[in-house]
Amino acid sequence: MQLSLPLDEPPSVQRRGFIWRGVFWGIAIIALCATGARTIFPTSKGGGHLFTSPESALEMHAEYATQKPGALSAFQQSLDKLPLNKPIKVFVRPGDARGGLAEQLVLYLSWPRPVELSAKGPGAEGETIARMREKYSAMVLCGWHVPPAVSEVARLGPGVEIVPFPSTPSTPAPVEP
Amino acid sequence: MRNWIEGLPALLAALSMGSGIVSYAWRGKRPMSIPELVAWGWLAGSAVISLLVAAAGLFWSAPPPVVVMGLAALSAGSGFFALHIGRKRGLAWFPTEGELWEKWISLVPLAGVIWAFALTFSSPLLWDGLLIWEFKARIAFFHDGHFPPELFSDPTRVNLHPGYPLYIPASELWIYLCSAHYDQTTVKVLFPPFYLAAALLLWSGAARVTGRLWAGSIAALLPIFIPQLCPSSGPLLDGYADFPLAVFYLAAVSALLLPRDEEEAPGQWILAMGAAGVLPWIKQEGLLLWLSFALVSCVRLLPRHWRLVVWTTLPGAMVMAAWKLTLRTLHIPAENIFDPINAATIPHALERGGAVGNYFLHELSDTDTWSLLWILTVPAFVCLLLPRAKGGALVVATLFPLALDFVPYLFTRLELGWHLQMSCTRVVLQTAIVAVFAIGVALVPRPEEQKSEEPAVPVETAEPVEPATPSEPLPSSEEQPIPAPVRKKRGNKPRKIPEDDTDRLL
Repeated sequence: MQLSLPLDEPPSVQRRGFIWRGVFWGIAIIALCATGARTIFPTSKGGGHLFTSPESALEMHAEYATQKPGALSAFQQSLDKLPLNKPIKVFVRPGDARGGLAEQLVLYLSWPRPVELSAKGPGAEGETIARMREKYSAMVLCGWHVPPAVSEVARLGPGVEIVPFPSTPSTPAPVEP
Repeated sequence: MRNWIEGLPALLAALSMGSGIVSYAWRGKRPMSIPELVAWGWLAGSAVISLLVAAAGLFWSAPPPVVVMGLAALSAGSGFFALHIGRKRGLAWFPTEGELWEKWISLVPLAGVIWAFALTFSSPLLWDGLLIWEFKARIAFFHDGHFPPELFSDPTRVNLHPGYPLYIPASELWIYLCSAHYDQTTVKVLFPPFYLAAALLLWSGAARVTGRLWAGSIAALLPIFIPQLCPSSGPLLDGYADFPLAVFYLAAVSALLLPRDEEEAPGQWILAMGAAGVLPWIKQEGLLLWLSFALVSCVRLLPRHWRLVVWTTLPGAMVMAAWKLTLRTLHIPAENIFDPINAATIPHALERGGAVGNYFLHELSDTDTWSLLWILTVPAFVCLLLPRAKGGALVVATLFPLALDFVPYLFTRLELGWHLQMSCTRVVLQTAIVAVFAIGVALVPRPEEQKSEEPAVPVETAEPVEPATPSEPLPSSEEQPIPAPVRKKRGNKPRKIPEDDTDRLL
């Protein structure tokens, strides 16, 4: 089968080659448009709802991660209270999409606080709550149960909890006479 | 509406800046068309402004009003220069001649552009658009326009990819600085102009290569019907860098492949060089596209114009080197996502080849994602590879990036299935607009194909004067009639102007 156009043939044969090419591409382009339209138009986003809030993206992601409308302000406030000098420990269950997004939001919202990530549950690395209280400013649990030893928990939604570790005021050293 | 009003000054400043640059670069008998000026002006302006904003944010501690006023003044000057050049040389509405019906049909692709602009605020920034790109712009905005070094050196935020280039963050920061207001919705005005640029480049590029306006119109219309490129279902408005990257790659490739006469060629090379230079500044994968561009320029220009190959690829290499150097000074933590390529890792990588290949084939043939785009590239390639079609470079420009995209998956340390699922569609998207361009060009035989037996441009031939033989007496200086070493010969067989005979003009 000869693939090349018959350019050395008389003009009428050339023209026929071009016509066949045109017919082929005409059908192909219509098929492409029809196939695409079948996918695009039923799922089209449309222009109904418009996102106009200055933090529209954060709000939507926070709502998805916590499964709770308006969770962003609580999320932001809980992280803003934490000191800057100690890291935040985040526990995420592997394969949990909502937990993964919550972890990313902690990284985003808590800047410039350092963040440590762990795919194992609290206590799995042999760290006690008392030890964590010394080392971290807070523990964020994404998809993990809150250990019974902690008292104060900010529940942002099902599966996302922040456990702050407020720094205990150090006992003042006795003043030498 | 409020968001458009807030974002518009930043967009117009970029367009104005780019129009001046492109008007300066464009040299040719044929006037630049207004759609080409808009497309190239937006791409050039956004690239230059992002580079300047990033440089100011990293190395200069100027207050934001100084940066904004300085860049606004530069943009205004550049815009006036573009107007001056436009008046002097003239601007056309169409890139090539066409029938009246073809000109009316050219308005049809505008439907997609209007759609893209109308849907701008119908969804917020999504995952990577927010967490990788906008995050850096936000931090810089709240630090008076400066990118703090800790943003890059924080070892606990490797997940947010601190080493990624700053084209999108710096462009978003420019919008924040111009509007003096932090708004994740306003920042989305950055993305619809890329759809406009893609449509205009497809239209003008395909029209100029084929000589038919209607072919350009079909090429520009196709993205509306390809789910991943369509404004309503694709990632264009999600704030990702892949669509802008694809548009810059299209710009670089189309400028390299367009037909040209001798006078306009240098402008085309400069535009191609500039667009290719921006690729590594947009995203890490821009490096792969830049390598592809280098190969395409080799296919197009070697062996005669090796110096042009060096010139066209040099800016990309310089941008990459500068960014790597900057990252080194910022002590960026290593991400370690990929295995090194060595004798120990290659056998394992080869074992994965089959799985990765299968996934790619499945991806390319998925009509829910790509419609028939990749299936129709096969007959398009056949048309482009026909004798005298001269479309080999465009085939390389489409296939080689896909082949290169294959490599990172072979050496990934992440779970292979997850990595492919998360990124394969976006990686393919980076080449998809060039594939649309290939189909647009293949629709109709190029003028060279149709008139292959006729000379493209009949010109007078120049033939060197035979040196006088020693036996003949040398003419005295008064008797020498021809001062130049060549003599024009009229009436002989005409010859074609060599299409690529341009490197001496640079």
